[in-house]
Amino acid sequence: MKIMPCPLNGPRNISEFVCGGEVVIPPDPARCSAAEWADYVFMRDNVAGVVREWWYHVATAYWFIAERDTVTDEIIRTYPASELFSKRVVFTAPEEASEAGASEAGASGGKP
Amino acid sequence: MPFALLKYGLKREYPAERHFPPQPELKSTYDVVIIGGGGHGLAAAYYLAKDYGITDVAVLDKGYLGGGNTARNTAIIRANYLTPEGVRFYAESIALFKELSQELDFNVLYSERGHLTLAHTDAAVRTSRWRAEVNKHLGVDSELIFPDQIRKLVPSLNLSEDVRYPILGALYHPPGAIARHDAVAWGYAAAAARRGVELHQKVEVTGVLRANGRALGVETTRGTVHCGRILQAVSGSSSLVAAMAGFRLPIHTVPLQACVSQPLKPFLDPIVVSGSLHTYISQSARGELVMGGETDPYGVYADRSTLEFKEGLIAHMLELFPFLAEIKVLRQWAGMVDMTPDFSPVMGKTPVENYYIDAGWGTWGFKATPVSGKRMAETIATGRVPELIERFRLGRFYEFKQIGERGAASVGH
Amino acid sequence: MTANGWRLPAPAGRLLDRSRQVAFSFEGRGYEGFAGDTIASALAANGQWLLSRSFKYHRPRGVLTMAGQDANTLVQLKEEPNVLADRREIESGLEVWGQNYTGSLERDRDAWIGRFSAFLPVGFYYKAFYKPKGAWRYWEPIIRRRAGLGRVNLDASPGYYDKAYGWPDVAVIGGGPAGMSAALEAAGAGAEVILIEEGPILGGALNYARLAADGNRAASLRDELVAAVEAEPNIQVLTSAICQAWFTDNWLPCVQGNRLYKLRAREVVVATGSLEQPMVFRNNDMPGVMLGSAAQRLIRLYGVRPGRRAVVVTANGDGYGVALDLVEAGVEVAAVVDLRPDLPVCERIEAVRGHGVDVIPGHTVWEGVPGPDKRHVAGVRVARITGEGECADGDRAIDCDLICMATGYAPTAQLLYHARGKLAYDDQTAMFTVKKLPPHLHAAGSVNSAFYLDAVVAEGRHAGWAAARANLDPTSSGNSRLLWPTTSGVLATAVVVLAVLVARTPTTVPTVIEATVPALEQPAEQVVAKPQVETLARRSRLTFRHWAETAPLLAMRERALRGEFTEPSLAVSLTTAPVPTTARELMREFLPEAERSESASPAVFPAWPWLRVYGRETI
Ligand SMILES: Cc1cc2nc3c(=O)[nH]c(=O)nc-3n(C[C@H](O)[C@H](O)[C@H](O)COP(=O)(O)OP(=O)(O)OC[C@H]3O[C@@H](n4cnc5c(N)ncnc54)[C@H](O)[C@@H]3O)c2cc1C
Repeated sequence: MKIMPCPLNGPRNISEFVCGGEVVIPPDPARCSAAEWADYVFMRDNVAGVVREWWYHVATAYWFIAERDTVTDEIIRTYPASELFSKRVVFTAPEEASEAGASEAGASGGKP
Repeated sequence: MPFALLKYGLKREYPAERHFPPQPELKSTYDVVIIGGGGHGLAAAYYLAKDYGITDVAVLDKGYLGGGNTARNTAIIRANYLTPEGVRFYAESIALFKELSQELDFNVLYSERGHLTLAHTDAAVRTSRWRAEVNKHLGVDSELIFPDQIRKLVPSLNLSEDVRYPILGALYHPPGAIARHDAVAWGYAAAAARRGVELHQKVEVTGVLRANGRALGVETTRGTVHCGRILQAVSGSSSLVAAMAGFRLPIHTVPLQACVSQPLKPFLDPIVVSGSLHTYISQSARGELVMGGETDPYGVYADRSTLEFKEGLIAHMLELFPFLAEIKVLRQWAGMVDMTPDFSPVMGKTPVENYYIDAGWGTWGFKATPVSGKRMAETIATGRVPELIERFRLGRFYEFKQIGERGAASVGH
Repeated sequence: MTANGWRLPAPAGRLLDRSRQVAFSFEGRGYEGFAGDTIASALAANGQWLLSRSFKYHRPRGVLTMAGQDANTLVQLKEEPNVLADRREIESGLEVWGQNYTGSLERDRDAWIGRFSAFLPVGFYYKAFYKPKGAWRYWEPIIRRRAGLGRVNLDASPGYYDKAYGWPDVAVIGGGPAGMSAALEAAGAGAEVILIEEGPILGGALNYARLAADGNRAASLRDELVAAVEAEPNIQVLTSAICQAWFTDNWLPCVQGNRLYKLRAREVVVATGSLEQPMVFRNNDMPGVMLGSAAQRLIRLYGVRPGRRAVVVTANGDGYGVALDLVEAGVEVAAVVDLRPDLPVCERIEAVRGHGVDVIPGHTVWEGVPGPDKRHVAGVRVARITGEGECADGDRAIDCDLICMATGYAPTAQLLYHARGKLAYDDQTAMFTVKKLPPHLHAAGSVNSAFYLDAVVAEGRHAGWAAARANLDPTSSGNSRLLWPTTSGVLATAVVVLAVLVARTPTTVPTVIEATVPALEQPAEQVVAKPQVETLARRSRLTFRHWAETAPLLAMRERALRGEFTEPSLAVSLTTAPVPTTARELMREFLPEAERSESASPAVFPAWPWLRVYGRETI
């Protein structure tokens, strides 16, 4: 069993976690085209190499970010989401959507 | 004793059987380049040559022929899917499979065993009935059966009600079959080579040459190859090769594992699948129990095995067949499968002109080897996507028109 | 010896408890063995050598490895098919049957199919049975009925099984000399160690192999190491336990009886040894044809005489050890057939000759000759080797009921492969050797191509030390490797370096250590004082810094000074580093022609008799 070093709980069996997929910044649902939305929902980079992903520790309901190498199955680094997302993301009604959204750090947070 | 064997045995010198011609020099241009020498790529090459007389074809594989998922799968063939698109498609594959040994002059050991999908819950019984109706409507032999009928087919199955997941019924699909997976790849390869197709092993495609939205050729570890048309058929590596051609896919690559037991005298005729218990089992022509389950919980591009998989699988298998407790697992392995969100393939044209794709085979693509080869060959040769596979177009995701096959494809293989 | 002459008297049969007789049955006939016997050894002690039938042609099969490493011994128990008869111990009342036959094991009615083997080449079924159309439907059920080996008991009720967990600092797999040495060293450095051994007792090859002409060295070393392991509170020993796999992050499933141990080890030392490889000749699968080590296991572990008249075929010194063991067990050794045209000067060969055994160099076994009942070998045809891959027609026939194959080894490297270690074929040792290991995994002993006992022990110590160190220092990734001349030119270079040093400064072992180790403690640039060393270091891109950093050199030096090492184990501790020149070339440059030894291993430098080059390479 692989070990996941959880930022909150320390090293735990990876079966206690769920992978939440690539860290991608959603397009603004109120403004983006259908194609952009489809791209966000369905298309994946599916990289062979280092990826940055959301992970979730089930027992403590804790989301965090892990960087790992999908070729060697090594976990390189894990850290709290606050390292990337410094502001709270507020989901608002369409007309207000432009004011909220992902934070600066989040919006620029591409692939490592 | 078949005549060919007699003739062979009477030859003094025991010539080594050669199924393929020696590997030729890689040329700098071909009419068609096929990336990926798994079952799908080889079948497409064969039908290009046979149905359309297109023989200036090179199949390039970074490893050895049929060494990807074709070598690793559990060889289950069936057509009892849930969506009409799926059922029609896989039914054509079964029809081709039945004639395949004759067609290729190579015995692929096609073995019709019957296929049972067990239902342990009311919901599963309902889905089974639904699938049976869709199947029958489209002319595929499928029916919902109940424990007394199941007992006749698999007397050794634990049908007791005193278990955690009692078996309430099953979807029974008599044409369900297994075949010798390697033989399918080798048979297509040999038959394609006889017609002039070139097979190149240990040639990895590292880039796709493009200009003005058209594909012009490929970069490989053995140099540049120009060509008129390209087919990508690389299963687990689909996203990586598509990225070379400049587009993304709705695909996530995860390991899928399987294992076999030591060889045992045959006692299990049909293929038995349990979705609730995440397992399936069949007994091969060698007597080994071939067992598999669900994909791994997270994605890696490494065909490593895990203990969790083996433990979970065996624990569930023992709920179905408790007497297997003393049987030993002989080996365990994994392949990297290309999963789509709707459990249906991605086939046909791509955003790049002359560049065709055959991907998204996930855990279910072995059974599609003949039909996808035939229909992709048709697409490449005529430039028109046949109706049978049109719905599997990449564009369906941009139209939010997925083909929800999950209920019939997960675990079922 | 018992009445039938197969059972040997004690001390042969280390695993037997001769005070307890155990009755069991095979193929419906009653047999007796001793507690500690396996099914195969107990049957052999009763002269029953036929154990099973092969999968396709139903050929008779018997003991091959005596180590649970072949399919020849698979037998049927009531609740359990495909049981390894050379591993499963007998119990009172155990019912054992053969498998995969029609009629009886002795007279398998399906054996006729072997006569048609010419018509059924490998993969024949791909080219048969499908013509004319529809034929397959008729053939398939017939073929399917022939599938499989053992029979599943559909009414078997599952036994009791459970699981246990462990979190050792260091897990050592393999309880032979390398594994025990590794465990001791790691425990001594403060690590909590689990030592896993698949046999019922510790000792590995020391329990059955013969490592020298006089045959006592193995036993004394074994007793010494076992006593030390037993006295070490930091080592937990699991015997009769098989580590089945290596999974990511050193997650090891170990099966002991009906218990599955799941171990999470910080560091793993694989010391799983090596396996003799069978040789290819006609009828090499007949009962009576076995590995040399299988014969030795039968004698030493189970007190069974492996035959009455034997021929040993070999290409190394160990074959002569087998011959000596056979002679001592009362087996008449008709001949030792050696593939090598020129035999080295070697104690064991001389000892074999001293028993009047015919040693036939430059020959090979052409075929085994079956006896009249076709169920056991009755002789062997031997042929002269005339060139690479060629030999004369079988020109000599020798009667025998035992053929021992002792022609080479392969590392038992499954766990290393699981962990994605890299092994590659090495021409010098003629076997696969470890080239690269992932972090937190160490290999020691003959799985790492070390065959000479001092080398094996030193390697084990090194691996144990490295594992303990890596465990104590989490920033270290561990697995520095000790390389021997057999595995790489680097080490040979090191030996040469020392050899050269010694040559220039006539000295004794401790002073060599004195002379070199202080230099090792200094940074590379300060070593320039010693010109030869410096030249060599530069040429081989090694600095003495490398030496000092990686090997437990200083600890070894301490030991050497205390007189614990008689031989210069120190001389050969090094890390991997690319070397531009091979040891052979260096030797050529630095040693006068006359002093180069071309004899087989252990090669001894004539000028410095204490300096041994371990391994098979002649430098
Ligand atoms: C454990 C397991 C069990 C399965 N069970 C079943 C089942 O029971 N029934 C079923 O229908 N399906 C099953 N599948 C799925 C099935 O195996 C696959 O969908 C199918 O084999 C895909 O065939 P393919 O020819 O497309 O791909 P593959 O056989 O994987 O061939 C792709 C080839 O592309 C080559 N390649 C990749 N990248 C490059 C490159 N850059 N350049 C050149 N060559 C490249 C690879 O080397 C490989 O040989 C299973 C899969 C697994 C792993």
